Amino acid sequence: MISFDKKKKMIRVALVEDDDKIRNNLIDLLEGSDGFRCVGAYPNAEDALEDIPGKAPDIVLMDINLPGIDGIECTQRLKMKMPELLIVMLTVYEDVNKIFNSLQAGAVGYLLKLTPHQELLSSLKDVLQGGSPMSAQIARKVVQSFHEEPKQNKSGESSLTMREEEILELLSKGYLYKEIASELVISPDTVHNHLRKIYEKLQVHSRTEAVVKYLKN
Amino acid sequence: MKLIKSFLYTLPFYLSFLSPMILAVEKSVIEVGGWQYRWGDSPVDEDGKLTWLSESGYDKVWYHINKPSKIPIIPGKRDLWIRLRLGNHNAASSAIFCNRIEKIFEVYVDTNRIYNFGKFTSGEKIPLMGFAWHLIKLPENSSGKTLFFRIRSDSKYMGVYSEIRFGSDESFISEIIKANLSKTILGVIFIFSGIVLAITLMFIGHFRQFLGAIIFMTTGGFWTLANSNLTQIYFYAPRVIYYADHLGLFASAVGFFMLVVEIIDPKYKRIFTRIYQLLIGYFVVVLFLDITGISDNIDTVAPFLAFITIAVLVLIYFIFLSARKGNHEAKILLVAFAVYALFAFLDIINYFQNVVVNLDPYEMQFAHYGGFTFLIFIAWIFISRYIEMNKQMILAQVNERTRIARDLHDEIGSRLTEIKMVSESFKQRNNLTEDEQTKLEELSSASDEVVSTFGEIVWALNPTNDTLEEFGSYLSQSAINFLQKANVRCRIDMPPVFPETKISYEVRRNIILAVKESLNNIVKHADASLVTMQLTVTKNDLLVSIVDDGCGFDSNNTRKYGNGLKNIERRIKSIHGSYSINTKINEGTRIKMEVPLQINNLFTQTGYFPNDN
Repeated sequence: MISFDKKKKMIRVALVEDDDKIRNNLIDLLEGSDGFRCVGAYPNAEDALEDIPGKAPDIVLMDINLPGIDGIECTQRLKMKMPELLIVMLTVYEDVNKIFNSLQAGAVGYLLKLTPHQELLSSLKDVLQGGSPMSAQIARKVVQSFHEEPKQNKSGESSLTMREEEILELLSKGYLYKEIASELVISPDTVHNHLRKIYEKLQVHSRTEAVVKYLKN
Repeated sequence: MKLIKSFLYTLPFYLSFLSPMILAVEKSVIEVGGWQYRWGDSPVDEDGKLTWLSESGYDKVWYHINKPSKIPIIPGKRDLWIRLRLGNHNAASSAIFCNRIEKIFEVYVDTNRIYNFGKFTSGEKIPLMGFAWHLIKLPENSSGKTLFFRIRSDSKYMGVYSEIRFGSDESFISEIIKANLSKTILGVIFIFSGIVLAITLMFIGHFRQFLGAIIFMTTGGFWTLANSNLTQIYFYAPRVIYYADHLGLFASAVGFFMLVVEIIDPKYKRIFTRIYQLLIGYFVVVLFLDITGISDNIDTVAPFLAFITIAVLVLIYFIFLSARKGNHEAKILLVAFAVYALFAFLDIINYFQNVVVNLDPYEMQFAHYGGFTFLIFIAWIFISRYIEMNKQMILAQVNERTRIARDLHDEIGSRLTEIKMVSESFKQRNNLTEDEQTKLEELSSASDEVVSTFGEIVWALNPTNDTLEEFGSYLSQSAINFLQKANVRCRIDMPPVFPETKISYEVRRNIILAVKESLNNIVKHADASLVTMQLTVTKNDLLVSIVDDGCGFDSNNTRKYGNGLKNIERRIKSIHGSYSINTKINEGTRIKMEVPLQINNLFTQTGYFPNDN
């Protein structure tokens, strides 16, 4: 019974990474850390797409550059099958366009491969608790993408609220989360919630955008 | 608009073509009637003298004609005599001038031979001597005497092709110079530019693509020179001139077709390749017949000209089709043809008005200039094509470099990640000495640095990042990241949307490094709590200002920061920008950089790994 409880608290992580050494290293890290379990590790998107739905992980760590189907498309397909799945992108360096595309595909954040181990693990915990890290550059891109095709969808589901716009603007001006929180007199957790919501809207928005584009063509 | 502009630029050049019109000499020389001719050759008397020279009187055997050029041609006849009794006025002339007289001839005044061209030998086949003009001095006191021309040729058509004129030799020479100077210069320019082009292309490549242009220029130049009567004054070689004239025309036509084939729609390429191959075939056959002496019909260019005319008309039609499809180069070619037609039209007018712009009325004068303007248009096409090619090459280079940089980066990035991961897992061990801990720390921070530097280079190399938008957001993000690590608050102020202006690699890289250096100075020396970076774009400039609330410094005493500040200034100056720093002790620092955006031309974009020192 005890072991069952322990397992339940475990954060179940799946890995998609084509570099064998990095993948094994990450497996070692996850398996060797309290509270984490690696439920699957895949060298390519094809295997991941087949196997991950059955494994029901909490978080997927997804390399952006994969041979064949890339991490961005893999993210999109996984999100279609499992809308609640949390996907965090792994990248060597901050290629803002690729990261933004990943977020549009449904990822909730990204981590640099060089992130120190402790930081990497705590970031994963944050994500699970609703944290959604967003850089100024990404915030600016989000704002622009929502403004590009104004009022395409008036249902409200995919357009930003005033508060969300405020947060994005402050972010793009270089405010840190805690600075935003004190500026808007809200708690840091609320900032995180807003950001998570923005990510969701971004995904919906980009999906409707794609549909609109598809219909236009 | 572009067409009109370039036409205006070259206008003085076109105007210079009118010089032969201005220099044109009305016939200042006396023309005489009263010529007589007779076919056949004179018998020789016992003393070896030609009896026809002493036959006195204008008897029935001799036919009257006003102009020697109008003598009816009888194919197959090889000998012809013409004579004229010299009156007072024409005997007072010091010289006679004749252009395009056949192969071999002798000139007599009464029984005195005063001039000969080639040698009369019996029975032998007459070698081809070619066209040349002849300036023949008359002996003094020739009045009342008779002038004889004894002419022989194996050619199908023979006789005197243009008028035999009387005048002073000075006036003839000055007339030749006036009428042929611009044409001669053109010929020299043609040949010279052809050779220069050939040598240049040998070094920079594309020789094959431009071969037609080289042939067209060089041989066209020789043709033009051969057609200039001036050439003969300095270069008396009738046979060379003869070949240059005829073969030059052939070869330049071939060159022209080769060249146009490179320009027109590839769809029509095959048919025109056939046409110029046919031309080359014809050319080789005629040359063979001429050299072996089987036929001297090489000067019979009529079938060749007919062939060329039809081919050119077809060509113009195809070019018209290409132009209608929106082919820019075909449009330029059509304009070139129009200009050429204009010059040819001038020739036709001249011909009918009988304005002597050249001593040879059969000569096409303006066609040469037309050919030259053609060359200019074609050169224009090729130059713009070359520039386009260069651009694409640079683009290909950019793409290739980006790919290499990215591949390298991904590979090295993965390896560095491993190093980092291994050192991280080592750090978890408890039995490490302090020294080992520091070493591990150094190792992992070194790999961090390498990866982030790589990221910067890859970012800068990526051509999709050469917009102001990408640049602005990247610059802000790196400022935010840097200041966050240093625990300094950071505020960014930039327009929500940047204009879609391109910004070159060089400008991007230098601004990024200058901003880095400035932020570094602030973190190290200013003790600031807030830094505001502002990006503004005016019509031509990008403005970057960095303001801090730190301790500032005495701007008269910058020794402490000397090198850093000089570096920033040098960077901004190297991209033609200006830099200013405003500070007082305890009042913060305000740095301003102003960089023009429009100077990035083709060449600055090629400098991908500029020397940063």
